[in-house]
Amino acid sequence: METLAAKMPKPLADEVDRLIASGMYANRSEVLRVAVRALVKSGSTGEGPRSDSPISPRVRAFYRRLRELANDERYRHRWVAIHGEEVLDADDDHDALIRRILKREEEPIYVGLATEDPKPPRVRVPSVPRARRV
Amino acid sequence: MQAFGYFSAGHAIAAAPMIRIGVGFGRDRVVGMPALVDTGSDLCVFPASLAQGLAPEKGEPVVILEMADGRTVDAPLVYPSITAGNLRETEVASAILPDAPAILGRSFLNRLDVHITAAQDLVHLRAVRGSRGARA
Repeated sequence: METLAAKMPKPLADEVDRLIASGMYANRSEVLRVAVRALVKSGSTGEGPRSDSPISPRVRAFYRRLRELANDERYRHRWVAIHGEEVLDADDDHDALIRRILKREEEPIYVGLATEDPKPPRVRVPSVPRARRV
Repeated sequence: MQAFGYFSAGHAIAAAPMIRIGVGFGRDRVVGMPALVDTGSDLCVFPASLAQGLAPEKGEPVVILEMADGRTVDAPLVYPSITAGNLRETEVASAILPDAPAILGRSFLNRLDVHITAAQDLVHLRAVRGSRGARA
């Protein structure tokens, strides 16, 4: 492998270290390799790594609702279960909330953390050899 | 409570640890399939062709799955029960993905005692006390 020296702003470097601390990546080199690979595959548009598939309007509405709920003291920084615009349930414990919503009749029920900047969770599934656009 | 698996080469060069499982999305909504035992995967993954129409839309509407080559794909996260042998784990975090093989990742395996004796083609899963919850 070639060795490249890179400089980046401190906040960005902190984000890199946060990813390593989360256990998603082994070290800074791995983070940079994944990021550059994604940039190359995205056609070098400068948009950075992004998901291959667009997020649906329904999911965007869900994240907008999570942002709204972050302003409500009852839900701020708590896991909430949403059906349409309605909050069905909330809990500090994600697992307990999941167990309860699985018993409910309504569908769909989306679960997320009510914060000012809600984001889809990121997980690593390295064994999937190929996956088409969703 | 335990389950035994096997090694299967399939189209790959080297055999991979597999186990026969049942994935349940509620009463009368169970589908059986062979799954890859994969401690490298954060989550379980099930092919949309088998789970579609069975999985209720309950859970995170989208998670971003990071592949080995750095690509990312969006997928819904659901919480089915998974049975293997006479083991049964409920509320197992699982992604539904088109064209994916079934994968038993750490959201399931972390609740169990996992023994893989590759030289003898043996896969042995065993229940332990103090199982983890819905999150991996």
